[in-house]
Amino acid sequence: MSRVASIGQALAACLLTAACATTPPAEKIAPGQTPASNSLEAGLWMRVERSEQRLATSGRLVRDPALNEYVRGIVCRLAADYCADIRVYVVRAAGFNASMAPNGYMSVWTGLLLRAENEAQVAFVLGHELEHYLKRHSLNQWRDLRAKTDALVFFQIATAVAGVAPLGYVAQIAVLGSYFSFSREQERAADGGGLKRMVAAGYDPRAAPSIWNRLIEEKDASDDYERPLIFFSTHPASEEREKTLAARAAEIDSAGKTLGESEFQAVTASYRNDWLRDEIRQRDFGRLEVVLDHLAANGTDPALVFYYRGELYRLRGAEDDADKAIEAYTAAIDTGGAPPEAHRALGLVYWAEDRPAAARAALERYLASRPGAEDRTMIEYYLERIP
Amino acid sequence: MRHGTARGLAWLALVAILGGCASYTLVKPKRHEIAGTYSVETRIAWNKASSGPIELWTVDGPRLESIQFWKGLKDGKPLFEPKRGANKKPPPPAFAAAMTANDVMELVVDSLSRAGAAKINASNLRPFDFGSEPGFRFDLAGVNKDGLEINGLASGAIIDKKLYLVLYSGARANYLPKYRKEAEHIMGSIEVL
Repeated sequence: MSRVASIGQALAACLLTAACATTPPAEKIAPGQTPASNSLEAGLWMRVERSEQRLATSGRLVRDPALNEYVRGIVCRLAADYCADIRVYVVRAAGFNASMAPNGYMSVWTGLLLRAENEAQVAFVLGHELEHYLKRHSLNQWRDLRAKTDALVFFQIATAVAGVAPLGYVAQIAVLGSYFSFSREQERAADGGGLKRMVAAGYDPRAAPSIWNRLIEEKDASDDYERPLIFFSTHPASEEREKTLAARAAEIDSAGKTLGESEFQAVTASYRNDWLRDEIRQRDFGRLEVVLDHLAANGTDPALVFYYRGELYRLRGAEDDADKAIEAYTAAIDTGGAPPEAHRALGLVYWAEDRPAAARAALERYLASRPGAEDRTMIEYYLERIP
Repeated sequence: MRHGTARGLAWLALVAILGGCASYTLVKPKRHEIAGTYSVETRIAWNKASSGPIELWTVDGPRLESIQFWKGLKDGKPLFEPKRGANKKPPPPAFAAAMTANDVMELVVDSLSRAGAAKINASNLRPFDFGSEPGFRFDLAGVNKDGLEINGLASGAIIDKKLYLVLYSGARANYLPKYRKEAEHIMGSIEVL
């Protein structure tokens, strides 16, 4: 019998009995465990395997060995005996997100790595995701849903979530892996389990509430008030959870525990320019301001932070934004470490503001500081037309 | 074209064009007007579909290669209108009549990126006449949602506060070089009406 047919029979059998409605929560998965081929769980795995295959060939997959090895190292430190069961995919995508599928694949967005201040914060989020997998929360959610509905309605729900047309393609990849919005109880359990897991792996528990707090702050600042963060579409968040987590973290002795700040900064610093460019392309300026504020506070290269503040104001184009952009680009340049493109951006803002002398000077500085500029002939063309 | 077929087009942004039920008509080798805004000459036959401000031509299918013509995009309009039901906040990047060529290149990259293209990069921006009007060209490189490497060539100009843009893109390994000369011939034959 084919696997699909087996799963179909299992689904039908379950629908015809009341057993599903009274099934207790599934036990924690064991290392190396896979579901029986005719089980409901096998059906769930089969569905997410398809999304894993799509993710594995996605153009957004980060293939940089160093970054992959680093993130996988954190996961294995947290997962211990389960390390071999977990596949980690680092996805080049703006926004805070990580997810874990019931079959053991985990996706970690670069937007999460941009926002984290240290390795311990990343460890908490990934530990939280691991808990969903280990406690088989997706399977339990599936059973609960099916106990309350019939299979047809369930599959309509699943398809609606998997389709997630309003969320866009990148979000679709993320949500496909989880299918369900976890319950409040499951979120609390994953928080508690993730906290214990990060402490057992040697990380400072105080990082846990700080990343949650950071996420809530960003949600409140987002321009996208209808759907603030993809992470919240499957992980209902609340200030209450952040407070609970802070209280629990305070009870744990953090002596000898690490934040892993220097390691994290060393690995991620060279990627931040690309990741910030990904963020700014989303044009969610309220959210980006929070991201930049935190990067400034945690010691990120000031030239990079000032430059992207300039980009934010230039692209937003609200009242006074031209002046703010000029100020930010100038501050970036004054650090001595700004990319040459800061001169070009400054020159083009000056030109738009009808300040030709300043525009000319800035564009000439751009060409001088970037001798091989690919847009040299275009900039020279502008210079011929600036009075 | 059915929606299922349209998924996985060369640039995901094309889903915005052909996500519904676009129908194709034959473009014969001769001079053609693009919605009364400018005309181009082609030496080979293409298949044409149209949606909103965009006309799309393809030989082997838009999943592999296409040339897209924007028919004079007005100030404040995005390159790609969000699909029905798609998230509209924050709004998609929009064209502004006061843009420089650098701004337009950034608009194209950000629009494609937001529509799903990954690791996209524009380069080699240079002045290049759009017909008899001063314009610009630049190159594009990126990866589509299926992991296929895509390259492109764009030619554009801002004329009477409207954006005129022609974008040729295709799979880097085969389809971009296959029709690139024809695409360049089309771009070189532009006559603004």
